Amino acid sequence: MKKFSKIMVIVLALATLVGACFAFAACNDNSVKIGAQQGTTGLFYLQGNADMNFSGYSNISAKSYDSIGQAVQDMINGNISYVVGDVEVAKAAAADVGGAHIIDIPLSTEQYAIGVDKAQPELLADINEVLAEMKADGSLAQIIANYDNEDYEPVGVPAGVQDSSKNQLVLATNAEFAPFESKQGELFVGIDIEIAKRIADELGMELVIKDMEFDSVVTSVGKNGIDIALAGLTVTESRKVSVTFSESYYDRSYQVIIVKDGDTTFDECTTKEDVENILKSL
Amino acid sequence: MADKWQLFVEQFVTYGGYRTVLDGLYATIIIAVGGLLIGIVIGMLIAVTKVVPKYSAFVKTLSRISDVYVGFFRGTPMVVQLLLVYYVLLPAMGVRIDSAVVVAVIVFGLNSGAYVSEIMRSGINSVDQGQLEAGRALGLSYPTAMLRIVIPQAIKNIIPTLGNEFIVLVKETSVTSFITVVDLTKAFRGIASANYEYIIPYLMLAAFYLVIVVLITIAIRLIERRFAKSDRRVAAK
Repeated sequence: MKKFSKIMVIVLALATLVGACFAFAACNDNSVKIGAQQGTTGLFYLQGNADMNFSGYSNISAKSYDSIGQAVQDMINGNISYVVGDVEVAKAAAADVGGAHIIDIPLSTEQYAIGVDKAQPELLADINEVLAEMKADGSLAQIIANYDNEDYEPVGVPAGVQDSSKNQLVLATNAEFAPFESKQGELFVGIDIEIAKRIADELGMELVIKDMEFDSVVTSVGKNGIDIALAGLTVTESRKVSVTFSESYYDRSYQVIIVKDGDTTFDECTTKEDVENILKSL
Repeated sequence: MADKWQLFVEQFVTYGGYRTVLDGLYATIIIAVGGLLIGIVIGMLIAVTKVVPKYSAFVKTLSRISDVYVGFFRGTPMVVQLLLVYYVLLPAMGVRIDSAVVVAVIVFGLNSGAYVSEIMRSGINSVDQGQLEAGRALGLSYPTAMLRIVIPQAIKNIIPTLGNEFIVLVKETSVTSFITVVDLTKAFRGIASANYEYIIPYLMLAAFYLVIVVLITIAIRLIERRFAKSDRRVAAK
């Protein structure tokens, strides 16, 4: 029994020591905190990613959030300095949360495409055909332009019920990414949703929407009946391991930095290099 | 605050967000209740293999297997188990399940089974050894004595802890959106991110869980009182 209590004392002492070290390190963490949505290009940009040619920042600690709105809210609350995100989504989030704005300087160039189940090459061909048609008749550009217009009243799409006995197009998405996909009450709206609806209609299939964590969107394709992923997905090599990408439907996306109103750090910047030099020197 | 409230009302009522919330509430309750029922069955079976005398090799093997089972399900987080089953195990077996809720119920059941088995074991152990011995002495077989004498008393003892397990399950459902289930949390997150306006939706979300848990607590207390009736009768004599 004596031996046991001795061991316990040693273990407790060690635990306290380790805890104190961690606490000390946490207090002395001077690195700048910048937020981004979990699994998105913004986070890869901050952390560095060879696949996307991002070198990352050693002086910045990237914080990940479930949605970009939460990141902006946390910045307003003063817990992080900036947020990085896809330009359209960043603009919407900054405006909705309030008290923040974007620095409209592209930090990257990206293309959004539809992730298709690797086991369904016919579906990929069909989708590419519909996308080509939508580009040719201008309806794709119209959908995107609609969401720039503040007065536009989007038509919501219901989630539907998955049923493998029916001819369905099952879509994986993360509806926390306005204007590409978000909820309007119980219905789904957004650029991606309207594109998916059009594809399903053209192919004579019923659209079923599965709303999930952004992290799960790409991995879920091809499993449990999920056919495609449309979630403002940037085409990357690592995602190509899980899905085949269609032709791109949106190529105007890029990463931007969101700052609090009144923060003048980036006001002088005109080029990507200016912004990145400031980020490196933080 | 007024405009925030207005935004919430617009999403919740005007656009029909309450229907998603009700569906989410339904999913949350189905998963928790289904999980607990499966858990009680599995837990009871395992607990019995743990307390029966280990004379035969068969019982020893069963006990060894249930050790591994309990070790795995208590040793890994619920999210990890959900992800493993939904994204790794089911696709690897070539099984296709349309409803992720079914997967969630099964995983919650398996997970809860591991915890309930320990609760049950402690419950069975809390019943005096003499009860079983008396039953055996009166000529009841071991299974009958267990099922008719020990387990009913054990269940009475573990009701509060089982209630605890149920409450934990209800709250754990908030991670099921990882496998595409739209539960209560996911439903409110949809409303919150429609305008990136979190304050009211998240307060409402907390209130929903709180009300559910308070109702469960009241129910458990009623059940406990019902089970305690016979105690009082004995005491009154």
